[in-house]
Amino acid sequence: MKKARLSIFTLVNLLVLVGYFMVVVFPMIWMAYTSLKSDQEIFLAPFALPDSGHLHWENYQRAWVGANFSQYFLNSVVVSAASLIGTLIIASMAAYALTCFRMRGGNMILMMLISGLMIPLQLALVPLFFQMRGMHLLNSRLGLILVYTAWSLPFAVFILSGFFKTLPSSLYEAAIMDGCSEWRAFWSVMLPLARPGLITVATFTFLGIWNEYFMAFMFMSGAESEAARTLPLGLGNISITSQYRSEWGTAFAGLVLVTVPCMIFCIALQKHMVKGISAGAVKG
Amino acid sequence: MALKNNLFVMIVPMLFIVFLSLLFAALISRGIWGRRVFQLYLLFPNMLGGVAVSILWMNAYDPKGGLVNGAFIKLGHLLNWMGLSSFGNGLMQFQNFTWLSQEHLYWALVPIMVWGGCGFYTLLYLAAMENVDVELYEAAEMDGASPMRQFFYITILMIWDVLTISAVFLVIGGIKTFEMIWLLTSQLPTSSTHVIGTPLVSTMLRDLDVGRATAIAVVLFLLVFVASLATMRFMKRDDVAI
Repeated sequence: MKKARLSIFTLVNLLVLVGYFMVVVFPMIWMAYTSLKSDQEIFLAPFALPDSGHLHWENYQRAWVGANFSQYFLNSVVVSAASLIGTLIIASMAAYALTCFRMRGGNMILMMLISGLMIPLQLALVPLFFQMRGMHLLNSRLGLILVYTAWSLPFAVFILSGFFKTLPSSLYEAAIMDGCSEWRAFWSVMLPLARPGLITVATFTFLGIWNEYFMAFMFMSGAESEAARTLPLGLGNISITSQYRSEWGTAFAGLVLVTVPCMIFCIALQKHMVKGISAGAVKG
Repeated sequence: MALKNNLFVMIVPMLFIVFLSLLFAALISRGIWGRRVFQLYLLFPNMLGGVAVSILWMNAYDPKGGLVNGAFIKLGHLLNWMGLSSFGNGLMQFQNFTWLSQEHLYWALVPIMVWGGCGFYTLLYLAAMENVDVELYEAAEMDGASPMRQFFYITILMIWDVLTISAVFLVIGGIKTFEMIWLLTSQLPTSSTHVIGTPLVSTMLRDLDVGRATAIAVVLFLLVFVASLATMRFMKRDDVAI
């Protein structure tokens, strides 16, 4: 924005930011290399790098096989992918219809959808629990997918309707004039224009679902739910057991397993994400 | 007691996060080298999510093999070596300090939440600052305003809306705190460590007392409602004339 004039000021500035950088990044690096140490090494020298001749890859094996992370991982992928796709399809259509078409009460429906952002999850929890029990959706992946999709919609509609509002309606009219059907006007003209919004929504929805603990914990509490549990639940359990048996190595390996897919997803979409946050924040 | 704890997690981390994010955003926006890099790492903690953050910090706070006490002791040794033994010995007392015991838990939560939240809000403020009209700064400069004054009288006023929204989000987020407490107390919070979210789950799933769980949920909703109104009112201010 402006050029920094004082070099001392610039230096202090840089020092503060680098310090913050260290504080943010170091725990994650620590997590990565600690996952390759034995429990004893972790306790005796928390900072030391692992012995490079003797890396403890068996931590990963214990997490993957012993703590059943292979099953949880698969569940997490299935649940996140299905909910993400569902959210994107429903939210983009809803936001498009509610902002680009003039219809009676359209604005009110939009407001109602978005006001879902304000309602705390805990409030819906008890009725939702009984509803799901009645529909036999507790302890199943399908139930979790439905809940996650519904839960992600308000945010997705909020962001996407902001994007559709900025698109000029003459584009839509031109497409219709050129003989597009309504469906094609949406799919081939309007939707690609809203791509930055879609990417932002996809990133945040994915992050939210991949790391979601509270609902998964409530709806996957039955004994028969083992086969449907997601990674955050597995990680939560591993932390409890690791305290008693002091298997920190396994806990760290589990942490890495949960974090890495997220990192890959985010870094792949990083550029768009920063742009999307800025756009969403300013347009509102 | 749960209410008191909730008020704590609603307000204290919020203050820290808003202040620090504003500071970082201001520093980054002054156009320094390596801006791209900073934007990249700011979101790192957001990728981890509540469970992973809780568990990472649970390990970091471990009295014996943890990162935090280890760092304090290293720093203590360093200060002693530099001849500042009064500070050094103060830090050395943290050896085997149990951060997550009942009486310290809530203060130990603050760094976790700040660590997890600052990046996102820094980006948010940064985006808002970029939208402030450059002419305002130029005019201020012409009138001889120092960078400090420019920051307080232009930047803060111009991004006040974003500050309000972020404060509301943080307060609401604080009310809904659940998984950090739940996990950091090994799923067994006691009456002095409860927040409103945790007894809701334990009455529902352990005691199977649905009526009581619903009542807690309603209290929670009222709290969210009142708190967001209060925050908005508190931060409300006449529009700036431009």
